[in-house]
Amino acid sequence: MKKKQNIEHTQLLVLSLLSNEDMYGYQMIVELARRSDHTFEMKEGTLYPVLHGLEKDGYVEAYQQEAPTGRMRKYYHLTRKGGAMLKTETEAWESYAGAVNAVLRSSTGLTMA
Amino acid sequence: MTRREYTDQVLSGLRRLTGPEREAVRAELDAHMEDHICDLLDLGYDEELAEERTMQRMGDPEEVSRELNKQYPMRWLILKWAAMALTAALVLMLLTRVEWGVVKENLMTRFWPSQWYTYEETYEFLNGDDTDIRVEIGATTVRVCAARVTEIQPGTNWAELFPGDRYLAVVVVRPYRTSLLELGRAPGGGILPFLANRTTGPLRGIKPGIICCP
Repeated sequence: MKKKQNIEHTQLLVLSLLSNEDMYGYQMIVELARRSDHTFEMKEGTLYPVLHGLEKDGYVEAYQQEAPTGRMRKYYHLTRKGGAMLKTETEAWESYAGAVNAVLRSSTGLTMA
Repeated sequence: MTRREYTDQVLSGLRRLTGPEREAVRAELDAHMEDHICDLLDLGYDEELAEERTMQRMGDPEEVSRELNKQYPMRWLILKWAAMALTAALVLMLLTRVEWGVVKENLMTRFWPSQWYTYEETYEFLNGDDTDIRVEIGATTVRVCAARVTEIQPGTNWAELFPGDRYLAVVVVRPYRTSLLELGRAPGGGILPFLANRTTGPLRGIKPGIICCP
């Protein structure tokens, strides 16, 4: 790889989730499990250190909003800096995945879809 | 483990967070667990099982606590404490009208005295202009700012106080106190007569006086 991966995969997945809409923590867990067909099922509490780290670094910002049940929820919003990071890291990830696929193809002799 | 126990355990390790930050973490985790429990109740779980399953899904509270703590840099908290201490000191000084210089001098004398004299030795420095000397006089401790021998001018208060004497050893002192609140107040009137009675030692024949500056 040309460049060192700057962020962890969980952070990348979180930024990606937030690229379409603002979400709160539990919603992200549910969405992540749904979209990955339950491949990504993390220990839910460990999401929050990731979110607070992204907030500290300015990739996301948080705000409080009242849920229909009356409970206050902390929503996270992707910042411009976070959007730029998501773009860079997605490209880096795709190039990495492409390289892994190319090696797998050549070593196994299989034709990949 | 209940929800409360879980958040308590997470919060117990968050030493770098301020009070409001910790409460925000508690509210966020609590909301998450409530959402999860509600979803399980909708699926037909009974309340106890729903809570148990939710706790299992949350993961180790110590790990969550440790990782969360890392996201809050220590330096901000230290900066905050320093700012609070500085503000408190400034307010205190404004309220008590204590000057910075006096505080600094008193603190320097308290912790790094350049010289130390007992009362019996005070005459040894009266010829010079030493400063930063701590002297205990009875129950009162004073800081000597300056000392000199001066000629008594006729018609002055000193001439009235020491009739018939030509020279006077003047010691300029500031009260020395450990409490900031007490700084800047002149010591009681007992010091002047106390020193005035001393007429022995190298300065025999010269009456010592004392000026207290607040």
